[in-house]
Amino acid sequence: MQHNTSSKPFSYTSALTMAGTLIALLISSTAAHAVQCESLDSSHLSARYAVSNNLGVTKEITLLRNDQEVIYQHSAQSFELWNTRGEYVRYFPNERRSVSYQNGDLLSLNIHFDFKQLNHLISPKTIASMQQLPSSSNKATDICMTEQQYQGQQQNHSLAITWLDKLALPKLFRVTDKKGSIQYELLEIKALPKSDFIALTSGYRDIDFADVGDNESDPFIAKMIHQGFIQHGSSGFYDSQGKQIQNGESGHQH
Amino acid sequence: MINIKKIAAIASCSLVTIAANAAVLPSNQTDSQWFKDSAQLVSDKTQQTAPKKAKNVILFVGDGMGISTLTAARIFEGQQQINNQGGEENLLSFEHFPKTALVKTYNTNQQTPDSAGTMTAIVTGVKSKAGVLSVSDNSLRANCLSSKDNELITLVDLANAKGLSTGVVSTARITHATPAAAYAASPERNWEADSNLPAEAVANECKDIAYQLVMRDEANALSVALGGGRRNFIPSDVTDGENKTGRRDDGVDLTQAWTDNLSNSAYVWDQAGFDAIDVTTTDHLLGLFNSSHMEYEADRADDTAGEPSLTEMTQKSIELLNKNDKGYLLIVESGRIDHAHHAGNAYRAMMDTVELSNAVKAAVATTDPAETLIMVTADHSHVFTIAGYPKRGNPILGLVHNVGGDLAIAKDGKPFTTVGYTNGPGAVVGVRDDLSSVDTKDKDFMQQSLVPMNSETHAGEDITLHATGPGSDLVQGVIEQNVIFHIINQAQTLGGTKY
Ligand SMILES: [Zn+2]
Repeated sequence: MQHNTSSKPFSYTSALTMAGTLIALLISSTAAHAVQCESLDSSHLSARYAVSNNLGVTKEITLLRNDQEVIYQHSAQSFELWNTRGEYVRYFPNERRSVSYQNGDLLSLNIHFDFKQLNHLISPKTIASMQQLPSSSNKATDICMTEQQYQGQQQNHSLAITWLDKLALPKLFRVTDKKGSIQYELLEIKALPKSDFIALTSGYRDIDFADVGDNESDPFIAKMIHQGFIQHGSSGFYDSQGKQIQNGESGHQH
Repeated sequence: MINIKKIAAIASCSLVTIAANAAVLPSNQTDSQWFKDSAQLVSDKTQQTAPKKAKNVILFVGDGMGISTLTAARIFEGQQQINNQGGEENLLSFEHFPKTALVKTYNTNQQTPDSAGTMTAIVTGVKSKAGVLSVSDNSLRANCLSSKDNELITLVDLANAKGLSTGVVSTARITHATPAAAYAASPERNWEADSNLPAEAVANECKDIAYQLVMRDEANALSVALGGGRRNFIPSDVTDGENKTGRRDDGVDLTQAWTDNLSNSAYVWDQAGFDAIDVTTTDHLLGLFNSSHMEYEADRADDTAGEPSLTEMTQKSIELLNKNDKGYLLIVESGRIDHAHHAGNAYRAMMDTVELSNAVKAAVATTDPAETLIMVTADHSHVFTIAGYPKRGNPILGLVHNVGGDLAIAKDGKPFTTVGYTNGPGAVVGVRDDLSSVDTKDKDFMQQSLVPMNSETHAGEDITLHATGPGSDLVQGVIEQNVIFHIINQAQTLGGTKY
């Protein structure tokens, strides 16, 4: 897998390698009390985040949970699904087409992902390695919004997390190094019924990644191959080591 | 008396030859192990005779198993053996077969072919275009109406008509192009389940491939069908044992239809069910071990419900088919060599090729060489190369080390691997990665390539055909791929033509 990070419009690595003074962003802590806690099931929810770097570049991603599967929406052109069976699916809503990667397909492409990291935005292992700060007076009136503060270091990066334990998601997650910073800020959270999740992924004409090579006569596949749809997306996620994940892949070519 | 004289003449002649050699060649030549081994091999060949008629035929197809794949896989296997001299001296099991031919693979509309057109040539004796299964090239791809009356009779149809038993095995979906061409006629290889059929196909009553596998008359039914592709056989509202949904919109459970329609039938979907099959009481065995393709051999141990190996599937098929005193035709595909190459991952292609070699070895061991023609071929090649000047015994998936042992360095000052691809996902874009500290032998390493493409492509050069047993004398020269049909037709007297 080639990871030509310089071509990524917005990525953790490029954010951190950009020259410039670190400007700590002031984060509003009024995140999203869109719903009351009792109607929120942490296994069936949608969480919208603003992702921004120290230069003020911002985009949004939405995390959609459905038990053993999680979707990330980060552009109108495509969204991605991972599940606990080790599978990854890339959806193209405009074309109503999808490409499924079985576990063996991912391995053959040297792609490894950590479902827990994707499901929680941050790997539970990473959080476990961080220091929990003494809680200040609990401002939240809603138990879903009960916050815990963590901070720690990982591979020369400072991590700071405001964690929502009931939802097992960060309210705020910031990674900083001497070159810059990137942060995820929760904007909105709401319940996502299973039926809505299923509807989102229904009606797609699916192809296995393993079959892509034998279907270059398919106009959609030909176009997408030309555009490099498999490896060149930009998701901007981290793995448990704080490394950038592109399309769910972490690490780099051996 | 005449015969004895003739033999005496031959004997004296060969004595003269050896004597002449002894005079001409120095002992450092004739004492060489290379010399002696090769002389013995040729001497053995002079004694070879193969009967012309085969009771049984087993045809192995390595999907995408080109000649460079064979060479690399034999070295890969050889280097894992104790006391290997370097790996290069090794032979895959079927490379020991006495007869070999080179096979031209082009489709009627493509210089570099796909599996559908090539397998159509192999099983029908007629070359056709890419993408179509056992229909002639008068048909338009993916056009049902145009395929009508252009359907071709396959080896499976002929063998069943003769009263033989037939079987198809694959590590790909059993509805995938290569195995499908053996039992289905379709103008589109992707019509694997009814949900893949466009309105035109439904209107003109073309049937999906899975349907064609199961809904055959008992007289023309497959006795064994083992592979992946379970989703194409079960309804879309049904979840299988590995928590995957089906892809049939017609609501038909074809696994149920298999057991309902055929006598002494069984359907299995996992390793335990497969192991429990008693071939003495089973005459029709359907095994679908994965929703899609079966696992790569390198990953098979990690499968959810467990999958049999290609070797195990081959052995079980032979045991079951062997019950028919008239004989059998078995077609076995190693379907994922192709996929690993498409992904630019040589390790998995090597592992699956070695497993195919193991399956062939098991077939040889469990059949009578006097009555069983065993052939091994590929459908097409891949743009996979073995390059540089690595020293003897250099790890085939490693960085090139020169004969002196030093790391070979390219013009960009960086090392490079022996195996690589002309195109594919491992393409170097911009500056080439420095592989100095990279384990290129890792199973997940993606080889570097030249032209950037999301999926590495097939290649157009010839592939090989290896044969042993009755009828194998017909395997010689450079042949069109559809000749393979005629060799089987002739050897097994299937009655497909004048033979
Ligand atoms: Zn292919």
